[in-house]
Amino acid sequence: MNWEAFLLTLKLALIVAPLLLLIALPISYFIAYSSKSWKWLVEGMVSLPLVLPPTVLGFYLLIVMGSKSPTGRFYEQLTGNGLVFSFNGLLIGSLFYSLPFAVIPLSNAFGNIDRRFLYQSQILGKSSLETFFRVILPLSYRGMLTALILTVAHTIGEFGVVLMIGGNIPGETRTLSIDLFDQVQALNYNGASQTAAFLLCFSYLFLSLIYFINHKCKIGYETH
Amino acid sequence: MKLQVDIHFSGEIGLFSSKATPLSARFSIVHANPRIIVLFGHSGSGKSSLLHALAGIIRPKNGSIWHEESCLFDDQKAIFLSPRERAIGLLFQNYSLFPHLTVLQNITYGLSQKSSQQETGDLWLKRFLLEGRGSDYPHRLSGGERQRIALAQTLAPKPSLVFLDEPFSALDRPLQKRLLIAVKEWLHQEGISAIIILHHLRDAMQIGDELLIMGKGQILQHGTPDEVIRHPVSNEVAEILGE
Repeated sequence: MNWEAFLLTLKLALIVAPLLLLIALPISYFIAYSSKSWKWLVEGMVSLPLVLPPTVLGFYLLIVMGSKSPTGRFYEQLTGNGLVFSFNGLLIGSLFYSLPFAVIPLSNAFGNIDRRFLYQSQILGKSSLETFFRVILPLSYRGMLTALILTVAHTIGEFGVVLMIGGNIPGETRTLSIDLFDQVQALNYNGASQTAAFLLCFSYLFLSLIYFINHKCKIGYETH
Repeated sequence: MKLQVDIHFSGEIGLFSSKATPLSARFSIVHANPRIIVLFGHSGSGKSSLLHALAGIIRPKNGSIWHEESCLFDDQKAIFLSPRERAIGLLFQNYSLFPHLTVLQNITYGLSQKSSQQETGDLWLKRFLLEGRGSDYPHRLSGGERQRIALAQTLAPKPSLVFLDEPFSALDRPLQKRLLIAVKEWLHQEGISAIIILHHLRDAMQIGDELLIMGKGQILQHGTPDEVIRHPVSNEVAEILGE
């Protein structure tokens, strides 16, 4: 088991999940409540990583973040380092790749809230922002937990996008899934089976946790 | 009280069903003092839709709504105030208490001054015979208790105009009578006008300064309870009152 790769994977997942939750909140709000006729375009865009081969997404991110692109050059001028084949590049790629795993459960949770609560909050003098923090968010905690867990699990299991934009640099971009690929290439089946078993158990535990939360876990007003 | 309503809509998406009852309502209430108006009519006659339109939850197709000197809606001038901007109160038919807040937090949700929240909350709990339930969550309460809390939540911020959609329907008859009097006295004492949907004519007679009879999305008759009962303008009104 490559612990350096494990810690890097964990670091990536633990940064991506909360960041993505913050990014997903306004997008999910828009999807759940906007009456814009072009809303489906945003929904389609957000869900794209679900059906797109990771290599396609990785390829375009490689182009956009590469040193020949304006964004890549801008980043290089700003930090002195390239974005591609770096941890930060990997982070940005993961944010795109895991976006639907945060937005879909959150927008579903927002959309399932009884609209009367939202109207009632407004009628009682609260702004949309106050209503969001005092009504929508507390009533969507299950959706938020699901989004967090799915994002962590999905980031840990990433392969295609990581390989395309991160390469395979130990300590920088070599995550567990890349490490597993390396071990198989090197015919180290013992090491590969340990990593694969670890990823399998980890993913299973995380998914089981979602179902546990949805079926059993009750907080605050639900247990009182 | 000054409320001038002339609104029309048909087939728009309603709040709780795919379509709201088509409505064409025109009436005017102008009186020097606050008034309690009772909205009376068959189920599906558009009473709730009218309240939702007045509260800003449904946007009418045409017409205008004026409350005191403020224009709440005017399609010609493209004015449509949000529910928050209208400074009104609305009690939904099946009451909507926030499930994640305690009874006390629900009652005081619309109050802006934090310092007086506990005091105001306790006052309403006492007024509605719910002392000691302030720390409970709504799902622990009976239907009648929830309805009283929702009523307290609506009235506590003292809006200048409140809309109450069947506010006593989940209560037993003795409690209905008791709260009817309590709410009437409180509204008069605070100088607050109200439009209330009720299903019993005797309650309407007891609480209402004026009656609005609705049928098939239209105002069929408007007057004092005595006038309307003595001189119904049509067989339809007589039939509605007969029920």
